[in-house]
Amino acid sequence: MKLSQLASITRRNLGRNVRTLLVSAFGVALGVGALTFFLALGAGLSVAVSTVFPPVTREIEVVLPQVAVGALLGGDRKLDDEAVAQLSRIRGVERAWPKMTLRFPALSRYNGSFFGKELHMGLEVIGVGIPSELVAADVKLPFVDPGAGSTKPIPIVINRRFLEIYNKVFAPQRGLPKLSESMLIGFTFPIDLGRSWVAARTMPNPQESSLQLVGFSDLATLAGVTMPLPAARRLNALFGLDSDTYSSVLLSARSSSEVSQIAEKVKEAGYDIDESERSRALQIGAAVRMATLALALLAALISLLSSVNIAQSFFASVRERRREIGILRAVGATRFDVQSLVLAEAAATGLSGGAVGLLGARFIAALLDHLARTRLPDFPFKPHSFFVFEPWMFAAGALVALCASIFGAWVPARKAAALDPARALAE
Amino acid sequence: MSELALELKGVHKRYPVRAPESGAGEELLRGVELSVARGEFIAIEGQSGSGKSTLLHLLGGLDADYTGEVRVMGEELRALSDAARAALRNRAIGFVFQSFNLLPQLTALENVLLPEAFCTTKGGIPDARARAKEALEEVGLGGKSSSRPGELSGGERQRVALARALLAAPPLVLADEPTGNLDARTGQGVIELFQRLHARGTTLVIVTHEVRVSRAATRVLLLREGRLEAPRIDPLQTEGEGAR
Repeated sequence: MKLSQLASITRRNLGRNVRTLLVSAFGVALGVGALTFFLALGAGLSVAVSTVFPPVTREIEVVLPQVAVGALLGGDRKLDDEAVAQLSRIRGVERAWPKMTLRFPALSRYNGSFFGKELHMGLEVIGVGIPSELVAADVKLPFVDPGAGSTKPIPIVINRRFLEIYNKVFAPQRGLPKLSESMLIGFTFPIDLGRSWVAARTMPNPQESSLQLVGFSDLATLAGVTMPLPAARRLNALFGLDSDTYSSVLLSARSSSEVSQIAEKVKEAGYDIDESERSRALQIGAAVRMATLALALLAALISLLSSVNIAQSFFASVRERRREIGILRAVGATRFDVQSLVLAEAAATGLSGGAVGLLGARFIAALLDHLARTRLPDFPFKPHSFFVFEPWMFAAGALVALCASIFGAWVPARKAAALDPARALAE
Repeated sequence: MSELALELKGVHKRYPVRAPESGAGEELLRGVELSVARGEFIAIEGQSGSGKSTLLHLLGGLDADYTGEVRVMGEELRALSDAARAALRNRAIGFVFQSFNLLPQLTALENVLLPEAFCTTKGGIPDARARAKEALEEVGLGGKSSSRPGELSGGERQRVALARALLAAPPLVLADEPTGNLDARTGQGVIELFQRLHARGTTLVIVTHEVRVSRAATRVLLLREGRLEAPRIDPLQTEGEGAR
């Protein structure tokens, strides 16, 4: 049978059975719409989660074990330059980045104008030193230790998530202005090194200094400020504290596939891995994937039910059109032609329903996004959209619609093809 | 090529069993023998339920559940595949039914063009659209090509069905009570169309109750008790007799 003729007859037949078409297409629309909607929601939530917890795919944070077996046995495991060199030699490691925390308390007390608002604030500051190259791409001003005796402020980098939390939580609560990265670059504030709100922790010789914000980076510590490693080393030495060993070492793997093998080698060498950030990202990512899968399965079930609906409709349609099928056979249609005709009608029904479902999913998603934007209060990391529609989702939706309709109409089509034309015409 | 358009040898046809406990189905055709030369115009008469339509379905390859031999244009139907039988119906046989059997969703022209949709020969039916229009002109419906069957009278519908049967210029036309649902004047017009076809050399086999159709035929056969035989009273000799 010629395709153009098949299309023409299919179109006419569907036009005659609009009610059947609508009932059958509705089920497919519901199934395909739900499937696409949930897939897009899952993808949207994944993007939102990855903004809050950026996926750490190639980095491993090496720390000393909480209870070092080596120490119990009299060994002396340390994260010093030798350890860094040893870790960087592990197969698959691209680079090892040593990190050193400030081992003394520090306090920032701010009294004055803060972007047009009077601010009186004091908070304990946690500081971490990292190699400058690690955040070289993110800093806007020089990120180098000014050195002992210099009056220049110590450059620092802050985690971007910290700014988001400030803007969405801290600033609205305190009536402070919302800030952008560009506004804050170059902002300088005082710091009392060696001083704490807890009197017992205050060092004997606290020093006054200042910090200057030079950039925002996802690699900066979330809990405090990140400064050049030489500055952290110099300040620890200033207070007579350990300035030779590191608090952790960040290992960059050449590829994400080598991470587990590197982690194994690290543990074999007697070190531990700080997986808090990584495992949180993985757990939340897995939870989103599981939820998406469950909802997608539900949608697949709806699609399957739509197949049953199509099967019922087409069984009825074939029963009603026995004589018509007999006529087609009389003028030269083969069994295959008849089967093709019924399947083409089902495919057209399914694809129409699928198209409606896809449009419906897109519309409902846009509506929910609009409601979220206008009705939900602003909160940290609130996404612009909770949905991500990708072309493959539309293709998958169309494919599911096609498969559901063909699957549902298969048996009725076979029944139509097997119809005895002589008996059909005699009825 | 066979000189015979149709040849039936010892054809038996039994109705399928509806319930297994009812035993074997009724035997409708009991050894039918028939030879129809190309260009003949045959009328087959018989009482209701005598198996006339069943015989016509066998001749048209719509039913291959029989014993014996049915040859159409030299081809033994049961030896052909479903696709081959369909192709034979498409290019060599035109059907005309008592109840017209038009597709209500298609226009008259589209109904006439329906065989073209299933034509498997390369290039399809040559100039199918032009021929369909010609066929409609020939049956006097040139102005109603875009009307749907629901908008046509019974006679017009039957003429559309006849035009559809003629689209592929088949050498054989099988008609089942073609005038059964038509008034006398309209029926006469259809008979004249059949006569024109016969004059062109088309083989015609018409199952009928009506003597005026039989009169137009070159040979009349009676289907009785499952067999074909010559009628005891030749309808060509029975002047004034109405439809039976």
